[in-house]
Amino acid sequence: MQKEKFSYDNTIVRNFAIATMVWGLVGMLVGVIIATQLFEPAMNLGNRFTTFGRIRPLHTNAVIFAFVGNAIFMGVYYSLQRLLKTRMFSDTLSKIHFWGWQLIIVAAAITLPLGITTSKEYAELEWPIDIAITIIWVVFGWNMIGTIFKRREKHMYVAIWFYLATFLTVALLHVVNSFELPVTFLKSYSWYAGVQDALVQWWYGHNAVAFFLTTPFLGLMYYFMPKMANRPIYSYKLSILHFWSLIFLYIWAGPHHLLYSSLPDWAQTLGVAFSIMLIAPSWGGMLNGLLTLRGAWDKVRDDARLKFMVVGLTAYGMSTFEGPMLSLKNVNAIAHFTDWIVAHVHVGALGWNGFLTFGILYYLIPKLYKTKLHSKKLVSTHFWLGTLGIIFYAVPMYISGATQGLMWKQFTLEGFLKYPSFLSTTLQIIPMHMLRALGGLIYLVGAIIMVVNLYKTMKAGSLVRNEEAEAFPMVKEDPKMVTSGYWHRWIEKRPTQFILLSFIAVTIGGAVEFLPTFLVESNVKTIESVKPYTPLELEGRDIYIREGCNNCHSQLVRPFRSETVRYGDYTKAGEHVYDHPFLWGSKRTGPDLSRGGVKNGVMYKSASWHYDHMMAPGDISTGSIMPSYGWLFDDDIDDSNLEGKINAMRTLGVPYPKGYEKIARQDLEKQALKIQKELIADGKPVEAKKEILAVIAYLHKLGRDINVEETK
Amino acid sequence: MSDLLGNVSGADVYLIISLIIFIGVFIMATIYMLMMPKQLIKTISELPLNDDNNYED
Ligand code: HEC
Repeated sequence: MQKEKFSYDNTIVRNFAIATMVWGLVGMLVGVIIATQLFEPAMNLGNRFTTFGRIRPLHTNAVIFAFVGNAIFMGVYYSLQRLLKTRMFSDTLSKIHFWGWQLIIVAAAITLPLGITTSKEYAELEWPIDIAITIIWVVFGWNMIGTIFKRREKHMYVAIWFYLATFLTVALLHVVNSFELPVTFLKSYSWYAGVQDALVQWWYGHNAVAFFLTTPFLGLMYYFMPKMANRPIYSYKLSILHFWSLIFLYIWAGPHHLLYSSLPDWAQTLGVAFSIMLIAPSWGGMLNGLLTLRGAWDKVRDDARLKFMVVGLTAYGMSTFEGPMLSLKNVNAIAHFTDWIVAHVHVGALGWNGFLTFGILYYLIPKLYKTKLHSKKLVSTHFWLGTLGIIFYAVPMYISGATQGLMWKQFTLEGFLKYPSFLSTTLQIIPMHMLRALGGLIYLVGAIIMVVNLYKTMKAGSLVRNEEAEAFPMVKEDPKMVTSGYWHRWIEKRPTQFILLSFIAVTIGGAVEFLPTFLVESNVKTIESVKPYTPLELEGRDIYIREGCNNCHSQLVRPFRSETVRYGDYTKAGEHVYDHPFLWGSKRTGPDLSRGGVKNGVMYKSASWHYDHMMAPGDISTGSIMPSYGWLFDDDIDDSNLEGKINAMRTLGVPYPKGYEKIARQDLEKQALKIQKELIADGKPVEAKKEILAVIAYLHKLGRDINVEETK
Repeated sequence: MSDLLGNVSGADVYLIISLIIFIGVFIMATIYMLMMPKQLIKTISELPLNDDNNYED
């Protein structure tokens, strides 16, 4: 048999590498900016586009989908071709994939600061962009699976299994979580409401971490670690077990984000049990990677790229140990809503995703450009800066999280909250927020050094666009293997079956989680006193979403005395049946707002208080880190789509009477006028129909209905 | 916590089903792993190493 000649496409790998670097710097820079906003509100820059609530999603989307996303594609396009001994299935698809993805990122970078958002974490992009993501993702999968079918290497290395699972699961997650009803070109409402929306969202959110930040990177680790160490993975067998148990367990662990919420108990328990079990495969994977270096630790000493890999894997081990711990109810009780969670994700993001990406970039760029790294010393500098950055980031945030979490819970001997003022707990952690921003900055400086170093490397060499290679065409049957290993041959000869199998695996996981909540209607008890939002409140809610208030404020009171005393009655699922989307939030940078409308409650504030506070939070609450929202006083409520919004809500099951959309505007104006009069009577001048009126109406709606007798 | 509303009666069935499915898959993966011939494992695990062009490191 004759060897066939072909070439690997390196241009596409290089393009994704450049995108990784560029978006990485952008995403990290935005991260540093929002970090400073949390101790210096002036860094909100006094305009609507750069307030924390709007650009925090920009940061998360940029680092997850732009930085890490491009890094995944870079690594996949490089390793897949080589592992399968073939060029990518189609150069055109590769190009569409690359440019499509970059366009999506640009669209995100434009829409998010404009306040065009669905508010669902890590899925903030509006429906047209969601559709674009789906299309481009399918292009990626098509290209990948096409490549698998035209491969010259019969055996599929474990990295490819991880890539396939990534493709399938992310597709499923994205589509299910993005079910939304468009109102206009750039506004939609989530198909699901309240508890169901929360359940779907955190099934998505959790598995996005699993299948976007973990599985593809494990695939990359299984390829690049052996390459850099120049020895095979420690145990290939372990990697198989690792793969199957990881994808199966992860998919069930989602509900641990909703402990103590009004999510049914059984789902919470399920989430915790599977989260704990997850430690096993995660650590198996980490050890498998680290042990690959056994007997070669001297290499690590001399090669900063391997240092990145080792610290990255260790960070993976740390965060996958911490994750299950955080899902224990008593740990969760303290850590949830605090900076602890932020620390946790950053150990993963900066350590695992960041460091692995850096290691791979340092490995790939010289190879693609057929040259040597510009400076090995700078790689080492980068490594130490990066490590220092992670420490300066994580340690203060752990302290901050524990401090605030405990302060929220402390009672005096007389039985009063020791720190009844939320703000006092915020002020306590300001120094930690400063250190954290410093940590982020150090990490960013390290990344800048890398980009300069790699840029100079590229300049010194020249890109090998098409790398010549040769391999035997795939043989039909390898006689050595015929007698044994039946299962293995069965699976690897059938990529389609394999794909189907893993697809079934993840779907079962999802189905087991949702079906009960979706099928059993009594699951969410309706509370009859809960009324749909009035048109003004609905507009107010949309402004709340636009401004991203949910990035700082929760709307979920957990059933602890420390919370019910501080905020009011704990949250019932039935309160949220009209909430498309839910707005429970995941982080309490500010206090919970879900009882802001309970007139005799602790959280109630008058309209004129809100007026002053929204205008200049720092004047009312000295030292507040909430941004000022001056434009809410200048801009008119945009009710041009009110009919559409009412109709959409009705389609989603909100019981607005027939024909209500025709008179909704009248109601809106009436209610606005009432609040306007109230404000003017208190000496707060405001023109009719200003947005602030809608926001106040909404804040006063929160929890109001539940205050009336609740029906069980 | 169980008065927190919305506990589906008999929902533990789901928990048990999912556990069984998981254990089933786990056992199958283990058997599959154990049945792989040594030579095959060696071949596959060396796949990443055999694709190199020969310049630089
Ligand atoms: C950067 C995070 C942040 C963002 C974004 C933010 N807030 Fe706040 N908010 C805070 C903090 C911190 C406090 C507590 C200190 C204070 O009273 O200002 C607070 C307090 C409040 C309070 C007073 C609660 C009480 O009764 O003590 C209200 C109401 C409020 N915010 C509403 C909003 C609304 C509406 C938005 C969006 C338009 C918003 N916040 C955006 C951080 C934020």
